[in-house]
Amino acid sequence: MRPAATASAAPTALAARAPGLAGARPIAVFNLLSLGRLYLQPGEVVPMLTHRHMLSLYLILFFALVALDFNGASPGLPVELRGTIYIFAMGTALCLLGLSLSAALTLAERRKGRVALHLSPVLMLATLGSVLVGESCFRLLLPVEDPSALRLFLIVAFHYIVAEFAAAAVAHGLLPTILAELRGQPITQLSETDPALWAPDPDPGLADLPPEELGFLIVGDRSIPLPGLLHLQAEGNYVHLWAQDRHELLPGPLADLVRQMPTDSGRLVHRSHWVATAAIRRWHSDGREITLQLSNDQSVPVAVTRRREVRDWLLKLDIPRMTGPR
Amino acid sequence: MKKSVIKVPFGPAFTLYEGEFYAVARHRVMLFFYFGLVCMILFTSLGRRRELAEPELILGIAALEVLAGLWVLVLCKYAAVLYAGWHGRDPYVHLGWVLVATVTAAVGTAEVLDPFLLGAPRSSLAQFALKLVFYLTITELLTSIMMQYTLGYILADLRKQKAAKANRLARGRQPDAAG
Repeated sequence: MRPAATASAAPTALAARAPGLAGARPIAVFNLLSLGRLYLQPGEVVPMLTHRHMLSLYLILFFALVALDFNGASPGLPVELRGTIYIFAMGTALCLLGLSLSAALTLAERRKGRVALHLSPVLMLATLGSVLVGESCFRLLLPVEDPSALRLFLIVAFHYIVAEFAAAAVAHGLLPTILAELRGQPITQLSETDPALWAPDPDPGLADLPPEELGFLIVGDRSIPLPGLLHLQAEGNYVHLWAQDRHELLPGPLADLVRQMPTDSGRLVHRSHWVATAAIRRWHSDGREITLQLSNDQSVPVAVTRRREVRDWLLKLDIPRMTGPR
Repeated sequence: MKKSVIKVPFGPAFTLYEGEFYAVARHRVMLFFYFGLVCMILFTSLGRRRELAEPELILGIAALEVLAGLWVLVLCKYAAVLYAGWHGRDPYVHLGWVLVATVTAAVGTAEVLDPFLLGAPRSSLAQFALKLVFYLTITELLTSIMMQYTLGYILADLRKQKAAKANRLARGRQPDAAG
């Protein structure tokens, strides 16, 4: 499940946890050539660019650039000097990228809304600056073999294409993880970086839920919003999940999923059944047997060993009771 | 309880409680890191100066350069503790600035020792600055990445060991403890 597919339920939870993300927050949208969109909020550019994953990437990229140096004149320079030129060039590119992203966010803040722009001109600017700085440094240290404009153009074109591929790989592969960590949201795809997905939902039923019931059930790489969850039923090593808008079969065991649930959000009424408090419509008692009727018309049996505690719980919740044979 | 704060370059600040600073410095993960860093410096030196002298001499000089950097690192730590003591505060060490001092000392030593002992040509001021930028960037990046990925694990490991030790001591004080 992706939050994009369940925009009605998932956003409510995290927006309530982080009310600052809601609606009027300025957002910059960067369109990528790889057909993705990166959504950034103020204050995220520097933490994103200096995140430990990004620092590792810079270091790997730097070593790769020094090792695969194509410049014919560069072997004449010791590795410290060649490396420093690449540091200057990469630093220029990163500074220009950071400044451009920050400028877009400043504009969004001034407009108090969204600013959309394409990332490609920003990458072109960063590449151009980087190549100019790198070439200037080389010219300061070594005589230039072929100082023609065509050579410069080809170098810029080559690095720009590499930058586009690198940006696409980073945006789709690395940024969701980084933004998930920065925002504290289960972002797994680039499209889920849109804060509007996590904005408050006008649905009054969901908005009234207490804060401890808001959140996500994390199963593997899937995150399922807790609001709207009705019933979990164990079946072998799998678990059936019923929510207001879906039915899914998830990998178990049930105990692992139940452990993630907030204490008051529901109860394990049987070894194989967990029910959400909000899902119980009425309960039925017939001698020693207790059955729960859920809002999706399912009937859930209560284990004999748990009968007393479940009865007390249902009475405490003041849920209507029906006696006698059904 | 005494504590000190370490600010990782480009990263978060970690609070270390008494004794943990040295325990972190001696942790097996850090030992691997030192070993890797020293190997990298030694092999770079060997590649650079191969034509000037025997490998043993080059490695010996590189080891001296690394040692000079380490002395500055230890001095910086003592300076931070003294400064904090004078001002009645907890020591706060910004690792980024300590590394600037350390790397400057190591590269500066190389600039003195290489021409003196190996007869290598002296660097101009611009070349020295470029070398400094190169080693500084690599050291800061490596340290930042390494600390951010492993310091959480190291501290968890140390505190787990501490708790186990405290538990053993507590059990030992019980009158019915075996042994």
